[in-house]
Amino acid sequence: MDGNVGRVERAMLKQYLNELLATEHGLDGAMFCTSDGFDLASTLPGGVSPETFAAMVSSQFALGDALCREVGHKLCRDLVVDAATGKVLILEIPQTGRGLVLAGVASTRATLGQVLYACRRVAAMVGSRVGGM
Amino acid sequence: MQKREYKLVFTGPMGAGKTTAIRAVSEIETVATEVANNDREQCDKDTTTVAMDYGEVMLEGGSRLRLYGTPGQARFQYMWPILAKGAVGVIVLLDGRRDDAVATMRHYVSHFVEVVGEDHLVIAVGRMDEGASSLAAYNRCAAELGLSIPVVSADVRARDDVLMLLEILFSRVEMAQLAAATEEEV
Repeated sequence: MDGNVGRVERAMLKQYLNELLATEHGLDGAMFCTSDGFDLASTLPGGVSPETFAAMVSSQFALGDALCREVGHKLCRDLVVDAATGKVLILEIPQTGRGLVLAGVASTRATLGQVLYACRRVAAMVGSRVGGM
Repeated sequence: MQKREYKLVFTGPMGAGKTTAIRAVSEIETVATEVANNDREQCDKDTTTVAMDYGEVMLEGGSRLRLYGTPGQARFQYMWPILAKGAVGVIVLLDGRRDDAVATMRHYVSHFVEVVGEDHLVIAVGRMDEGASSLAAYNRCAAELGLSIPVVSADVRARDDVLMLLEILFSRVEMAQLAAATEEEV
């Protein structure tokens, strides 16, 4: 039920998450989850259920894949959901066979390009560490 | 004859055959949102649907039936109202081998009867040929809920079986519409 991610890898994911949130002040929360919607490491805004958020992230990312396939763009890499009071970013973790996903919850004070760059950077680092696990 | 669009939802627990049923009858390449399944305790299969399935069937006269499948796991229940919005009917698929199949039926029927009404529901129990009990327990469950809902055995891998489910559902929908129209006239 955990995407074959062990305790050590979860601790490593949590460490990456903490570093991301410490450096990107536009992010109110973030999560690593499996592509079928299980929370692996998360720090989310108060009141947000990690279980529900992970399920929704996996649904959204899978719909992004389906949408991209439909128009011939192959597989989805990132999703940005723009809302009235913030944004939600969902990114694939490369080299994990689309097994892991990173999601970020950004506030209105976030600069989209900067947050997206930071999340992609962390996703790439995690992919190179846990890829092929 | 006016061409119309109908929306129909296949629902049920993980592994009941929702994706298979839609693939069996769809006349377009189905849209799937399957990913690797990490929850082998709940269901031992390689992939699982995390958002929806989608397929289409053309009806006589050029009307189109749009088929949606829900994810099966409880954590994706938030997709139910999204997918059921505007649906003309719901087919609940169950795995007859599972000990909790009747309890599962109660859970799904209790929810979807509020969404579409009992005349727009059909229960299909699969894998009845693999040691499952009869349909009596499912019919008792419907009776206990105070509902008159057809409960049938179906192999959703077979196109004819899935088409049979669609026919049962549509005949019930038409009868309900006829009854409502008659009542209005009276």
